[in-house]
Amino acid sequence: MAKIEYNLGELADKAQVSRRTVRFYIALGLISPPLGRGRGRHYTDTHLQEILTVRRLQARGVSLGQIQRHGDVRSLESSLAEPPPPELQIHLATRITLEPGVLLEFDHDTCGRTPTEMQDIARRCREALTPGERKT
Amino acid sequence: MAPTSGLFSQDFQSIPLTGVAVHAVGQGPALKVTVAHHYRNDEPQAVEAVYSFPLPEEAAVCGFEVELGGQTLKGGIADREKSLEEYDEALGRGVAAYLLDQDRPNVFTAYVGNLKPQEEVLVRISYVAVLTWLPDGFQLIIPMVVSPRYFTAQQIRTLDPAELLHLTPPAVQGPLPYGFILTLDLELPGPLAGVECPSHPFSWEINGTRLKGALAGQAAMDQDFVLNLKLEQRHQPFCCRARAVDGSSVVLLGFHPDLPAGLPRDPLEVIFLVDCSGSMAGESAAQARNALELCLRALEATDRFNIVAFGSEYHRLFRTSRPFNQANLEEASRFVATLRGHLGGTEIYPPLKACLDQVLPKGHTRKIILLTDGEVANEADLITLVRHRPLHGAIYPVGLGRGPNAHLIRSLARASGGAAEFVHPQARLEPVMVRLMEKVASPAFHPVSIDWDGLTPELQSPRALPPLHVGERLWALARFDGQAPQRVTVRLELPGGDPLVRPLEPVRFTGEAAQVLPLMLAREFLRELEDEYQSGPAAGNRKAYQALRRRILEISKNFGILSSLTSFLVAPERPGAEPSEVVMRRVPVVLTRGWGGLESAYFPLQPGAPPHPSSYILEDAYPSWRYGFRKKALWRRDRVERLCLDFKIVTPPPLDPQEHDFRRLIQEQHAEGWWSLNEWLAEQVQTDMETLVTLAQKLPLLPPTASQAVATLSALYLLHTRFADRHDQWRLSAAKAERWLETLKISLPLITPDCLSWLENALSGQPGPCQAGDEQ
Repeated sequence: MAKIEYNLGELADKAQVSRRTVRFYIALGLISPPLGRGRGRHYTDTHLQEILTVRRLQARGVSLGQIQRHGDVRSLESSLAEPPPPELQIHLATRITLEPGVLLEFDHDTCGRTPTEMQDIARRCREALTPGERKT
Repeated sequence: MAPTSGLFSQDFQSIPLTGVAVHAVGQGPALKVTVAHHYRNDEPQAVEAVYSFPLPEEAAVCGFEVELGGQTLKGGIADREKSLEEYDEALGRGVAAYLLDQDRPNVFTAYVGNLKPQEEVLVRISYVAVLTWLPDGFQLIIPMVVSPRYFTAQQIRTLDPAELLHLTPPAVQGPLPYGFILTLDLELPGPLAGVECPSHPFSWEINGTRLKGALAGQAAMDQDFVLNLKLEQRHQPFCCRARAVDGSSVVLLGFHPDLPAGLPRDPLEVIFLVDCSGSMAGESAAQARNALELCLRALEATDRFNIVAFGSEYHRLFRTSRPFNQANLEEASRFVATLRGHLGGTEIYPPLKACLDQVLPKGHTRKIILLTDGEVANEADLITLVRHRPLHGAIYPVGLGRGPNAHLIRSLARASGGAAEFVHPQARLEPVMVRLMEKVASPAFHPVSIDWDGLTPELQSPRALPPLHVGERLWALARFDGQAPQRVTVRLELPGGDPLVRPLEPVRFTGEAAQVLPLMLAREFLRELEDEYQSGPAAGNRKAYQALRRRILEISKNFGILSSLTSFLVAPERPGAEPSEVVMRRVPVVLTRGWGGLESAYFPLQPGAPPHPSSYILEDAYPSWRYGFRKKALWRRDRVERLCLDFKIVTPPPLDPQEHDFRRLIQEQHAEGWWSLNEWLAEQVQTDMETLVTLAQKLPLLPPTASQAVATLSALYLLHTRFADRHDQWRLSAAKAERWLETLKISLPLITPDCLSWLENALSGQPGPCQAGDEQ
């Protein structure tokens, strides 16, 4: 079962920050103060998540001052959340103009033709399009 | 949320630090300094003060005491992280605790925990160090400022946030309610010829070899304290031995060799690497321009040179270094005149790497002169870069401004086999640059070895003895657990010359100063280990890295001196204490006077480009920064500063006529060493052009050379008479001019009161030596 109470050292190690950083974050009001009093002071996964959120925000260039002024790190992160960028789709194709307004397209993902073969097909298409030879 | 904005209230009532007192006691070159911080909590709640402050990078911090309610509590050394846990736990229980960290070798942070309302506490930090050695005396620098630093984008991602916060204490421009007082009591090795304090109003009295002095009242902590001590006699070699508490012996050796005269000068490739980042704007950039003008004119025709200006990006004057001639000198002068603090951030790494990795011109020795305030946080990366390129060029960094990063500047010089210099804006730049150029141009003693009477020291610092430059001193410390050496022999090799061998007999060092030597040795040794440790584990060598870590911890704990891996902790038991909420107060510091980075340190060079990612660090450290990056916002920020923080714009005073004439004379010297004849020069020697032209016409030389010879003699006459007291500033220029005159078979006669008759004597070939400083 996962441990849910940490002392200062354990929390810092888990969040991969120094013990001093945890104390600074608490002093600046960026994360919640420890639970309990005296020797019984301890931290929980909530503290861990708060530290990780502050680190993510800092990595995005948000200053501690800005985080401090906003108050709640989680809501600040949500408000800054940007829609994920549209997924990039790469579509490679070779297009050959047969005559004005008529294009021949080879899809590279599905068509395994060589450039010579493509040119050959294009030549035959042009022949098929030649006036007089057009079939009805 | 815990209130933290109280620090920046206009009346500054909530700053718990009320004053700093520094007391330095010295015997010989050894120095023991106590820095006392006085804290008082005027708030209705318990507070924890966090104060980041500077100490000298070579300081061995050996004492941490707390005076509380008439009781003195001594701190002990323990692992850094463990100490913090104990400290935090003590605060959680409602008891007081005090912690001291080393963030950089020259930046420290004190945590003064659980100051109850109206409680006062005195925190004393003691360190030992040595006076900085100068060829004609000593220099004492007591750092007072932690200037804003530049963080690279990678550091922002990888540095621990607490380290960033320690290195960027909240900074304000204008007065703070606390300042510092300073008292000195130094017993020097010889009588003093002069005392100069360019940084502060300082009064002193000299009694034989003893100097007692004090600051005139409390001073603002906006610049380092600098004291230059000139000795009547030159330094004597010395070797002393002290017995440590554990019974071992520590030997200190100081030796300042003279360079034999007439040694051939190797052709040099001199690269001037000039910091043009925002923090240099203002007086530091002006210092850099003046320094460059002086250094350029000290080059010889066989040398090659280049200038690289760096900030967020870097610009080279020439694509590769070019020969030193008049055309290239003039182009360089035009380039130098454009240098300002105009290039944004301080990315030293790329240009330094580019300089070191350039192909070296055949037959040349590379020397890099780095002009900077050194305000960066990636010191370890830069030191590693240089350490891994030992033969790619010696670096001669010059620390400019009122609070340069001495750790970086000294470390780069040490790691590359170069030499460092510092120039306070109010000190004279010229003698320092002349001294620097002598170091650059003269061959260094290498290798340097010490025979410790056939014994092998348990510890030695430096572990590998670096090349010894002219005007530098050999400084070595060694510890012997058993028998101590009775005779120490120094051997200095000189390329193309006979080795210099000097035996010395250690004299017994007693008294309090004797206790300083073991600590100094431990600190020097630790520093070398820490430099290595900061470089990170080499590939596949994690075991060695861990061993290094253990060694640092062992030395730090055994000698009781602070390191990057340990902390001093005082956590007294207070039975019956009740847990209570403690509010953290970061103590603000005054922004370094003359620091030019406010307007441009993190600003994008291209309009519309996003600001550097580290701008937010400055925003946190400097509250009004958050007004933004737009011009209107800048104007608003500026206005607020002026209204709230008594912001004053200081314009530099105009040069006095004597200074102006001197600089002009030096700057008009041609690359080959001669001067051109002109009205101004004729006027300076109280004659006219016509008379000088007539003199030139009498010479059996071609017209341009003849008038250059007359002009050069006139310039030398001026240097030897009107500027005789500045001999240390013009000796390189004069030497170059005399070498040029020698090629025309003209030598200088003794100076006489009448310039014209002296010129005639010189040109008629009357022999006679001319000695520096000869007057009428």
